[in-house]
Amino acid sequence: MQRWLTGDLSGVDPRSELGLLRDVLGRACREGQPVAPLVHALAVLDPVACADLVAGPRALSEPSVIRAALGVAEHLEPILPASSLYRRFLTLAPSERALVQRAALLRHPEAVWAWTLRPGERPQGASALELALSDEGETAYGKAVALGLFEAVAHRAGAGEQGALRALADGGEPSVLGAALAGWLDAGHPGPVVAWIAAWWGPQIEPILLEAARLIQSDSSLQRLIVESHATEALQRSLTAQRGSDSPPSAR
Amino acid sequence: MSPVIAMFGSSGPWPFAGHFRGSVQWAELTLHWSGQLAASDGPERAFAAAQAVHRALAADPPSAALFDRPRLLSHAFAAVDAVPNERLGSRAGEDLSLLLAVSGSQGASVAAVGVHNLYVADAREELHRWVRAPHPLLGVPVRAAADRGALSVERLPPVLLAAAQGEPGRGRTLSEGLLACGVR
Repeated sequence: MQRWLTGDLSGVDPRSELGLLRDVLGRACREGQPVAPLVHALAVLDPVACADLVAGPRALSEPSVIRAALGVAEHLEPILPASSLYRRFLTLAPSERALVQRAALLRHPEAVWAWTLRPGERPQGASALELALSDEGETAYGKAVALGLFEAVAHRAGAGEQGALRALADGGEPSVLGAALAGWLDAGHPGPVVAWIAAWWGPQIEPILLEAARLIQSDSSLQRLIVESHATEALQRSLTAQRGSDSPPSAR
Repeated sequence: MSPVIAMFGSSGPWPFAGHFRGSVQWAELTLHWSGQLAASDGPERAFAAAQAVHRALAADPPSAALFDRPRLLSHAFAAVDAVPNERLGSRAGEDLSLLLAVSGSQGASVAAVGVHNLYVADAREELHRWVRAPHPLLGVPVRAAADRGALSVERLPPVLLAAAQGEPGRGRTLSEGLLACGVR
């Protein structure tokens, strides 16, 4: 059986020897031997058997097997729905979450399920977004906005990511952009952020400014908002009155 | 419903740098405006210039202009001309594009400087040129005060979109055009 671990499956009928294959794989994991050659060879020889072995009801909860399986995802996805496959991988090997999410996002960047593969306690989409950004840069913000992951993108904008602000201006709503603006100002990030937003969004930014004023935490942030927006006296009064208000500004 | 008077953005990284748009109602007349300037100065200086013009247009006109469309248009142009050059960007306002409209119960008047084309939407919500060049509304140099005429119409079109000098109008449909003008 040692030759199986090198990827030599000549003469093997995977479906009738699935139990044996599982045993070999399990022993290899316990002994710290590489399992990727076996998983790869099996995926090419019999993808159905391979899918059963790495993601079926009796699949091994072994991180090294899941890592190997991610390398043959193109063979497994025709067998199992991709969303189920990656969720199953997460269940079997929670420690490999980052790799599983990254693989899912790289293969399915437009799929909502890939962006929302996340542990329940995390902010919506934030972990997936962070993973995608490491590979895709600012274009990931635009995709995330298109998928409605406003909260995650606004969080990044509040952390000082200009690309996230731009994506919200291109595809977001005034309320989300206002929240991101408030976060930017409260964090004291530099730059003429109101002018940027006007140059991306269009000239009528008053609803965005009012929402930002409502959410802003500090007096200095409000003052900066007033100065940067070249606010008229009437708008200054509105922005000041809006600060700390319970209800969002009415649509205009 | 108030008409939408807007100007197309550019395709650059700051599509609406230096854009301004607004309207104010005085007595029987409403002044609408949309314009842009100083886009090449970058977003910060362009925004400051745009706000300077926007505030000038929003300021109260003399009472004599409150009931007279041509006078209100003249007042609006004069208010913009009175903004100090140093507040109008590095080209001192020479790159201004401005579409003005005054509407009231007796009709409407439209004037423009630095505007290359004007578009309206038909019943199928497709955009068409409102007037054809050569036309007194199109290509009027910013500083040629004597050439600023006004087109009088019974009523303003529901949507009037302007393409600045050097900027093509973008979008074939009304929704595309509005988005390209930053009308959300």
